[in-house]
Amino acid sequence: MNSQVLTFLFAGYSLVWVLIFAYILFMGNRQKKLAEELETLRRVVEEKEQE
Amino acid sequence: MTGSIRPVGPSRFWGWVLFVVMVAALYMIFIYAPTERQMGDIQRLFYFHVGAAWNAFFAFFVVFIMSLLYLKTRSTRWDVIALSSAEIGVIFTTIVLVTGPIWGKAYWGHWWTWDPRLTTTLILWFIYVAYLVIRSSAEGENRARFAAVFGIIGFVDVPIVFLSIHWWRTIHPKVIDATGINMEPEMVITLLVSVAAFTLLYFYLLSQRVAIETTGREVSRLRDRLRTRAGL
Amino acid sequence: MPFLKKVWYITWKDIRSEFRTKETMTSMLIFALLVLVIFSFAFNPTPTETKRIFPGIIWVGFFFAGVLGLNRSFARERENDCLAGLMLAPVDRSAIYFGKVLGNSLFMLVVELVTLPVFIVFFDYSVRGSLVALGLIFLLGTFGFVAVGTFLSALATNTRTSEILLPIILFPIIIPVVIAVVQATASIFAGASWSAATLLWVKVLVAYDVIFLVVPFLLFEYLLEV
Repeated sequence: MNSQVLTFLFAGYSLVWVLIFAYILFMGNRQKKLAEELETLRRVVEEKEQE
Repeated sequence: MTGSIRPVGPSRFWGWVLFVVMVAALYMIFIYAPTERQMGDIQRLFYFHVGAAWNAFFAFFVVFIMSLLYLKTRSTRWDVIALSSAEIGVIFTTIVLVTGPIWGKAYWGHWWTWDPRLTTTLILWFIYVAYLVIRSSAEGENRARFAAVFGIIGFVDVPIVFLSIHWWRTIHPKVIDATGINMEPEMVITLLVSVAAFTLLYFYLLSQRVAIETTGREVSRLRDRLRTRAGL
Repeated sequence: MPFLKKVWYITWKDIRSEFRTKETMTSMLIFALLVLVIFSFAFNPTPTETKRIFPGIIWVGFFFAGVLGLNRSFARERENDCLAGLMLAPVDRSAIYFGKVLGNSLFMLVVELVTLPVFIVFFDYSVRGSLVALGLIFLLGTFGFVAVGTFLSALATNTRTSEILLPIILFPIIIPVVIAVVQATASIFAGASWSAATLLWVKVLVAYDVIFLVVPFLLFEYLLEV
């Protein structure tokens, strides 16, 4: 009985952390994409300035 | 990355505060808090369940206030906070909806009960998922305005939803009677620390999300400007 | 021109254009009846089961049909830029809202009035209870549903995914109406027309109707900005 309860408890806390980390990963991905886009923008601007 | 364009996210200091409080909360939940006499160890889920629930409500309240502010001032600052808060609120509500049934299954042997609080949380989840769908579906200037309008409507709806579900349940036969937990002082302290940990987590995620969203909008604004300049 | 008259002009415009094509009402009616047929096949209920689920079934039919009608309410105005014309009309935005709510309520009530007897016949349901109480519940429930629905229909119509967006954003908001109207209908059909339970749900419906007439009224001008 007790080990089953611990399984449920483990599952509960694992899922909580999975959700939180999934959201943090999602934000990290966004940030990475933004950094790339920003890099492209900077290149374009610098090319323009050289013209 | 150029420093001028990137708004400040959460500082390292608050990151450490969050880390310390979260570890403390976990220690208290699993070691410090006594085992509940009736429910046993599964009651230890309760601390994160309540911490997430309380902050989910808080997050949606923030959406409501920011929606009002946006409609009043039309400053995108409020819109960015509303969007970020809604997203985090949905994540926290999901946590509540995941831990609730696990607890219920372990203790009562039922995954789900149409109990007013759990059911209202479910409806809350639907309302704010709808809010996010509106955001991805509306275009241009409409996006922030429609979302703000729905953010207000949705929040006004919540108390009515709760009351009507409450009355609906009292009329129907109750399958499960939620017995209150007899909280010992250590449990109360643990609960308070858990709620504090989730509140810090909320603000940490919020400032991170707001920073990303603000940067993102600035980047797309610059891109559009470059495009029009280049005559594309 | 008094406000109510302006509201009525909007409603009258909708009624007349509906009577010219009859497309929305026809679809709503057929759809409500289809829901009935689907339910019969899906559950194949015995007489005792029917007794229990009948109030729920009819309202599911009405709400689903109602969403069809609400979707058309503003989508119709997008053709030929009618919405721009409406907004140029010398009336408050709120008059447009109230006019649309009134029109949509009328359409839905007609659908309910026509299909309810059919539902009763096909499910071989013996109705008890006071007709006045039933009428009151139908009015209040329909009105609450349409008040929010019309508002959100105006919102949804200006998005990329208008038709599929409306049910997603509408149903979570109208949960209180769904609960109240079904419970009240059930208690009236059970013969307890003016019991405390019925009155409780009447109060819920009245409160909901008032709140969701006032809040959209305050917010409607934000939806129809140019």
